[in-house]
Amino acid sequence: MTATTTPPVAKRSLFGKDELKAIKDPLWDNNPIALQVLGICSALAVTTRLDKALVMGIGVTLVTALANVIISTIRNFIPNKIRIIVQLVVVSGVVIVFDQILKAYMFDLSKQLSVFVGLIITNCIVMGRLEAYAMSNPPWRSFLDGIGNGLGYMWILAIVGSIREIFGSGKLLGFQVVPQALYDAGYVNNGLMVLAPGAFLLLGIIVWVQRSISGYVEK
Amino acid sequence: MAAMLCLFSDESLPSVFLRSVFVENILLSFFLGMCSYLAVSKRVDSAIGLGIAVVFVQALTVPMNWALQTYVLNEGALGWAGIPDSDLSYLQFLTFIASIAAVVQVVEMAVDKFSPKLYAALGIFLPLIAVNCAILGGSLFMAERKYDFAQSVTYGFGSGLGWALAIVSMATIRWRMRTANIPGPLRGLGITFITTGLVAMAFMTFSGI
Amino acid sequence: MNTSSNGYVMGFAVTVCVVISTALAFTATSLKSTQEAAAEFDRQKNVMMAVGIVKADDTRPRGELEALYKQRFAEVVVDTKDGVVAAGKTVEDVQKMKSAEDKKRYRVVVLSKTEDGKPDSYVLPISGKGLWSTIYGYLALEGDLDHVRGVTFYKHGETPGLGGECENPAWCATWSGKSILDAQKKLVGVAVKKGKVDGSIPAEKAHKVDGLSGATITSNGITNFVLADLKAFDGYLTGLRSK
Repeated sequence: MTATTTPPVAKRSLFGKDELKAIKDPLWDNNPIALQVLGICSALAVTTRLDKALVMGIGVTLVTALANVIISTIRNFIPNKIRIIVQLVVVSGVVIVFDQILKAYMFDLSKQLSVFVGLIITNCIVMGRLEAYAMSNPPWRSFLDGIGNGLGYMWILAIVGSIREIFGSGKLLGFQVVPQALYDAGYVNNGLMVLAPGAFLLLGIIVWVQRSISGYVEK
Repeated sequence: MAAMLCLFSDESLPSVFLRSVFVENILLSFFLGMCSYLAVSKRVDSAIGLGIAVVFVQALTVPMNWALQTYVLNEGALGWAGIPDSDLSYLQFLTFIASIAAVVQVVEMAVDKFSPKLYAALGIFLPLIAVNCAILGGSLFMAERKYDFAQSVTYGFGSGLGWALAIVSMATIRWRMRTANIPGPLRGLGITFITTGLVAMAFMTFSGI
Repeated sequence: MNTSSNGYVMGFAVTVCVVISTALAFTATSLKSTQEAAAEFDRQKNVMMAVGIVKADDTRPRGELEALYKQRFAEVVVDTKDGVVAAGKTVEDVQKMKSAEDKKRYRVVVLSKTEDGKPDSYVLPISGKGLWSTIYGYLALEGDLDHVRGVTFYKHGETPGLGGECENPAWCATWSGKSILDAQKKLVGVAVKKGKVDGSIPAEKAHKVDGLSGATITSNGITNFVLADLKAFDGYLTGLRSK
C-alpha cells in the first residue's frame, strides 16, 4: 500500500459538488427503492404504521451511513478475497448495536419491529452501497452517500406507512385523523391496507407515479 | 384445506409445513427475499434454479441455526460447557449470518466438486442467497417462535418451498406479460408489484379457513 | 504490504472479529440493565392496562407510571398446586426458577388497590400458544372474582393484521364484563368465538367475545390457554371467594 491511495489534502469544501451529488442523487433521480429496486425485503412488513416505518427508515439510514464510514476508512486494508464477509460482519455489528439501543430506550417499537431489525443486515441497500460506493470513496463522502440513500429509502417508506395507517386504521402516528362523522356515515377502515397485498398494490402505484414524473421507462 | 388443517393440532408437523408453504408464505406475507425475487423472476428457468437453491439452503440453515441458538446463544445454553450463566443472545444476528454464509460457501464448493452440471445450473444463484433476507428471516422466525428441532426442519423446508412456489408462479406470469400493452412508467417494477399483490391475495385466502 | 497473502488475510479476519466482538460485548453489557428496566416497565404498564387505569397510548412520563404501579399494586406468589399464597417465596425467587415444573407451579399474581388502599382487582398472568408463538398477557378480574375487568396481550409473534390484532385495545375492551363462572358458579372461562357474538343468547353474551377475523387458530389458542390458566388458579380463587 502506498501513499497514493490517500486523497489529496488540498482544500476541498465539506460540501463540494461530489458531496452534494452523493446526498441528493439517491433522493429522487437514483432512488434506491423506485429505481434500483433495492431493500424492499424489510421495507414492506413494517409499514403498517407510520411510526414503525420512520424508525425502520432511521435505522437503515444510520446503519448505512455508519457501515459506509467504517468500511470506507479501512477499505485499503480489506483483502479482496474476504471483503464480502468483512462487510457482512461490520453491518451485523452495527445492526446489533442499533437493536440493543432500541431495546433499551424504545422497548415498545423494538417489540413491534421484532425480527425486522435483524433483517436490516440483509437489506440490499446497505450491502449494495458498501460494495458500490464505500469501497472506492473516502469516508466523509461515503457517510453522505449513506445518509442520502437512507433518506431516499425512508421517504418512500413514510409515504407507504402513512397511507396504510390512514386507510387501514384511520389514524396517523396514533392520532385519529378520520373524523368520527365519516364512520357514522358508514365509512369503514380498509382492512386490506393492513395486510400484505395492500402494501404490494400501494408500492406498485407509488413506483408508477414516481416513474411517470421522472420519466424513467424500463426496457 | 380447512378440513386438513383441523385434523392436525396447531403444533403438529404437517400443520407447520402447510402453513409455512401457503398461509404464511415467507415472500407473500412477510415480504422476505424480495430483492432476488424481483431480479430473477423475469425468466422461468432461472426462477426454478434459484427456487431450488433456496429450498436447499433454507432446509440446511434453519436446523443448523436452531442448534446454534439452543446450544450456544440462549441464556444459560452453554451449561453443557460448564458456563451456565452465559447469555450470548446479543450475538444472534452475527452468528446466524455467518453460519448462513458458511453453509452457502460449503454448498457451492461441494456442488462444484461433485456435480459440475448442477453447478452450471445453480452456481450463479448460490452467492445471491447469502444475502437473501428470506434465509436469515427464516432462521430469525424459527428462533422467535421457539420451534423444536423437528419443527425447524419442517419449517425450513416448508418456507423454502413456499418461496420457490411464489417466485416460479410469478416468473410464469411475468413471462406472459412481456407481450401485454402496459403503460410505460408502469412497466417492469410497477406492474410486478401490483401482480404480486394479487397473487398474495390469492395465497391469503388459505388463511380464512 | 501484500494484502492478498494468506497470513495477512488471516490476521485481518482475526483482528476484525476481535474488534467487533469486543465492541458488541461492551454495548450489550452496558445496556443490559436499561433493557431489563424497560422490559419490566412494559410488564407493569400492561398490568395497569388490564386493570384499566392506564391506556396504551398514555402520555404520562414513565416515572409517574412507575410510581403509580408501586403505590397501587402488590405482587404475591401463588402456589397453584395447593391453591394458596406461597409463604416464604418472593417474586425474585420465581424469576430465578429454572425448571418448567416450578415455573408452572409458582406464579405471580398482582393485586390492585383503589386509591384509598382497598382491594380492587386481581390480575392473573396468562400465556399459551397461538398460531405461531407463545402469547403472553394479563387477565384482570373484578373483586367478585367472576367478572373480567380487562385483558391485555403484550407479547406475541402472531401475524400483524390477523392474529396480531389480539393486542388491539378495541378488541381487548370487548372482554370487559364477561363472566368466567356459570350460573352454578362453576368455572367456564371466556371463549373467543368464531365470528360475532350473538347478544340474544345469554350464555354467549356472558362468556364469549368476538373472534379475531381471519385468525381462527389464534382465537382458539387464546380460548384454550385462558381456560387452562384459570383452571390452574381455580384453587386459589375459590379459596378467596369463600373468605
